[in-house]
Amino acid sequence: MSGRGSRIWAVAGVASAVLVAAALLSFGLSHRDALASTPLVQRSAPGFALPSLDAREKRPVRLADFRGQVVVVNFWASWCTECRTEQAALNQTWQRFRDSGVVVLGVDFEDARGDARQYVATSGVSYPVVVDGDSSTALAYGVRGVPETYVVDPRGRIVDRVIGPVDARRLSATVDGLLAGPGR
Amino acid sequence: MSARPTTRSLIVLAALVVAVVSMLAVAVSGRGASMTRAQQAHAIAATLRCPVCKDLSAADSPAPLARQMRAQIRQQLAKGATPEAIRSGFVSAYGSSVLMSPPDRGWGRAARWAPVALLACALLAGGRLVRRGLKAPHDPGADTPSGRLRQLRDLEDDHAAGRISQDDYLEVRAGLESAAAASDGADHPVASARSKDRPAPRSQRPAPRPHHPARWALGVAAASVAATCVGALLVGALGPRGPQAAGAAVPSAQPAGTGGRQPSRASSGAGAVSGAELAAVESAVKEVQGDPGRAAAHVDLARAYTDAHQPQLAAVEYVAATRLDPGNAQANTALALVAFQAGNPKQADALVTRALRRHPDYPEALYTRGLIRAMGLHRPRAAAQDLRAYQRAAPRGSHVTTVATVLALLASGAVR
Repeated sequence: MSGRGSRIWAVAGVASAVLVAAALLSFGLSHRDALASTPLVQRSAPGFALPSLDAREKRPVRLADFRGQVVVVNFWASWCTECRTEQAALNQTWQRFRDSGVVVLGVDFEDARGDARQYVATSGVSYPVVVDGDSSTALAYGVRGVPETYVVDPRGRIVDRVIGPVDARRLSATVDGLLAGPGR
Repeated sequence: MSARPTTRSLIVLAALVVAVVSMLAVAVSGRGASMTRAQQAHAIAATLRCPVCKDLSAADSPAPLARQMRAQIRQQLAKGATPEAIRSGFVSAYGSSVLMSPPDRGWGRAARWAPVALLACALLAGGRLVRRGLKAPHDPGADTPSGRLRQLRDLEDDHAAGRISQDDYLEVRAGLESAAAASDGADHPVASARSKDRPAPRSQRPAPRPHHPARWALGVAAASVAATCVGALLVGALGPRGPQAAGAAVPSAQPAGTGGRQPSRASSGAGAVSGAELAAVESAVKEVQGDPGRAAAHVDLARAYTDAHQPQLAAVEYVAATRLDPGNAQANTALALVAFQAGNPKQADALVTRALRRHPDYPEALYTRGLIRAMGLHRPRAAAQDLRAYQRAAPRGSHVTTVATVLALLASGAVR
């Protein structure tokens, strides 16, 4: 092989290595978002029995109580600013679908009860809210922060997970799809 | 010339082997020690990533969720769970990304072995460079004619003694000749020596250019920077959009020009319509325009009209939906209510029954038929049956109080 030929091969080799490195780098960096993916989608939603934030409700709220209904499980906290961003969308979803047998369920995460109650009282939340005092439910759902929302179908399977504030249209479309599904 | 560097290389190699063996010995001895439960919990937590932190293990993170993970690990150990079972519990909730070390399969295996492969390549390349450098060491006097002649003699000695291969000999010699020809002309001692030593003309074998490691290093560095930039751009272009970006697709609160179906404030005559309601109507109108054959789009528009206090327009859209999908539960239920309010309970009952034929447990339809049968058709038993079915289907629905009241009235005989 001539000197020129070997130099071309060397340059091609370095260029290929650089391209491979760039591809790996981009995959690696974008894969950080893949951390947000959850193995729970299309699997049974972890069950829970959590106390209600409303002190008048003595009976714990169980996910199993809503079997046969679409449940929107929303992890939130009063200190979370993004949770305020999505509040209107959740209220809207609840108002729109509650008479279709859909339940929006707020799960208060790492919060002071007083702050949580004040938040609920001032933000138009009328759906049931429970308290995950020891974060065991958050851990079972693979929660990485708040807000995070899971949509559970009537058979008790998680069908969607939203990281960050929910979008009313996306949530409505998901719920509509479940209500129009073959099981309904 | 080559004997001394070989000894040095052997010493370096021996040092490397000693270092690796020591490292392995320490790692293995650490594993073998027996641990208390707390230490065991800590060790398990150290293998798990704190889900709310950046690159911190659950053992090291002060975050409350990591604390809770540690507590859960301790509880599960106390119950007799194995470390593997505990880890797999977290993996089933968070995926394998919760593990500090990637699993030894698929991409995880690639991620584990890629650095080793890269290191091996780098060592090979480095070794080759060192070998070349040792064979042609930089000599301050090498650029002079006498220096080149000295190098040539050394080369011939090495070649004659069999210390270098024929290929290396030819390559180094060609480089010396090329440098000599470039600087001094063809009558240089090296060029003269060539004619004596080598019968074949050198011109048939193009001499390689002298190596410039600094230039190569600069090129690789520039290429790396470019690769990083390309990678970052790729991430930006291919990465999933965040919630903010997704939200950008939602129509703004102040709708632009309407499609001619949007009610104006002046024509609504039913109180103030908020910007959000107008935006919802605008968005729903676009949905219908985009896919006029989809019943669900008409139902969405009807809902938006209802929210914007436009019941007549809403009714038109519900009718459109039932034309496309005669059994549509939402549209039939809404139209049933309109018929009932207009004083036609029989037609209302027929419409809502059609809805329930499609979705027997649709709470809104059960509620509507319960009211129609209680108040319009005076069939208390059938009404009570529907209203109880509503309570079962939507225990937290918006009509629970009304339903309880109507059921109480039916039970008391006040409503007949």
